Amino acid sequence: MIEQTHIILGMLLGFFAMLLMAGFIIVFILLYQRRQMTQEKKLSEVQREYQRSLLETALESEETERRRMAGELHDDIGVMLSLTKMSVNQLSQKVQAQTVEKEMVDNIKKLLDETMTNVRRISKALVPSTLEQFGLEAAIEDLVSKHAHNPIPKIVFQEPDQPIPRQSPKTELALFRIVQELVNNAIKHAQANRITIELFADAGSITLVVEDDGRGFDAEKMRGSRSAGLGLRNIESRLSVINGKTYYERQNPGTRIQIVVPLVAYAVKN
Amino acid sequence: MREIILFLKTYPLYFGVFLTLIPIGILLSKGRQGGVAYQLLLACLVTKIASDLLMIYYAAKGMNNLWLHNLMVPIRYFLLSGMIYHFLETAHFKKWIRISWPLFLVFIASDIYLSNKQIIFTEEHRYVRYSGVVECVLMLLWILLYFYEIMQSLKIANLLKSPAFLISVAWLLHYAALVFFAPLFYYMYRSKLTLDLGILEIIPDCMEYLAVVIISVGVSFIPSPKYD
Repeated sequence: MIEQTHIILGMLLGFFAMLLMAGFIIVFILLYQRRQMTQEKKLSEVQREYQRSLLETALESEETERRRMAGELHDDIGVMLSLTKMSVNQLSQKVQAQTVEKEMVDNIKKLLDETMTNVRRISKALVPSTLEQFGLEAAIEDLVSKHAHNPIPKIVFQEPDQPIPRQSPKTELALFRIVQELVNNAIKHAQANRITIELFADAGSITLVVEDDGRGFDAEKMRGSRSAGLGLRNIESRLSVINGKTYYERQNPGTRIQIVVPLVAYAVKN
Repeated sequence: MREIILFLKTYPLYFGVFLTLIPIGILLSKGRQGGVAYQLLLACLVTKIASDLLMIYYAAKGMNNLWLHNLMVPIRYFLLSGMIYHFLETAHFKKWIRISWPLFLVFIASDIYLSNKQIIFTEEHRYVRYSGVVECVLMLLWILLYFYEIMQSLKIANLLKSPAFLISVAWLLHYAALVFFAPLFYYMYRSKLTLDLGILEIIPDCMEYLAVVIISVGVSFIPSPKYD
């Protein structure tokens, strides 16, 4: 009788041990899947970070190249043009007035002045020195003032009520390039009559709004288009580096694009 | 229910034998796709079915078939531990398995010798006393090592579709059932006890059927050969 009880007890224990074993396998599978998900999450985080650093490096090298080109335009071509202008001035003094030669020299002088102005303009556009010295608001004002002589489109910049604290050069440059791109798009593609730029900051973020009354566009469709969406992809690439977000809103007529980036105070070195 | 239990209690061996044909068929249809590990599994299943049929034959003739059971212990161990050996990637785990082979061979030889005074007279052959349990413990250890390795490497995308994992689970259940229940049945057999344990009695056989089903599912996930 005792033997029988022992065997039944043993069988029951064996049965529970088998249940435990089955439980172990289920727990193992669940644990494995959980670990796998965590690892995949980490991996995608690393990949995202890697993509971001690649993008950052690409943008940095683009800016370095712009700087180099601006320097060469200013220092090499600019100097050469100045020297050419001096020589033309000297030549002009030696040429008799009211002659065909004098007229040709004056024409050359005019062309030279125009070329020098263009070189200065391109050099300034390549490196926004106002942005580095005075910040985003001043740079946008400068950009708007350059378009002021054109009646269409009318570009309006609504300055912030409170001055925006200086941001890191990376953030300011990204925002400035985005404003340039959006204004350019509104003029070239949307054929807008009026463009409004608004910039303001609250406790945790800076918001930039560019609104136009042009043809408008579908952001989703644009993203899918290989060539047409290049500008938008550039904007989004720049924003991904500074953790910014874009919101597109199609209006009737025109488009409203809102860009929000985190506000991080930055001490500018004098 | 009573009829099912009665059937399973009366014909467990026959049912198990025919169930083993399923993974064998699937493995044969896959050819050499899976690699050495699956060839070893196929060899083990074929040997198992052959020994089971021979045991039925000997039992029908009223002859002692325990020598076949004892012979199957090392054969099964070498084939299955060889399979796990090919599943494993960690060099020192593989080394432990390699070391276990000669040691186990020596152990089973001495166990058979000590359990049977007259080895050549198969009529008087008796069960080996410890080798079966040692085989179970070692196989459980290798399978758990394999589980540890896959948990560390996380290389398998979907465990539930991995042939190696499912086959290991099946053998884990099989050996766990053996290690938990076999000593009890052996004790019952030795003490000549006749007990009606009801459903408890068919659990070890059910675990074996379950193991064969899981092996069948596992081997079905081996990619099929491509014919150009």
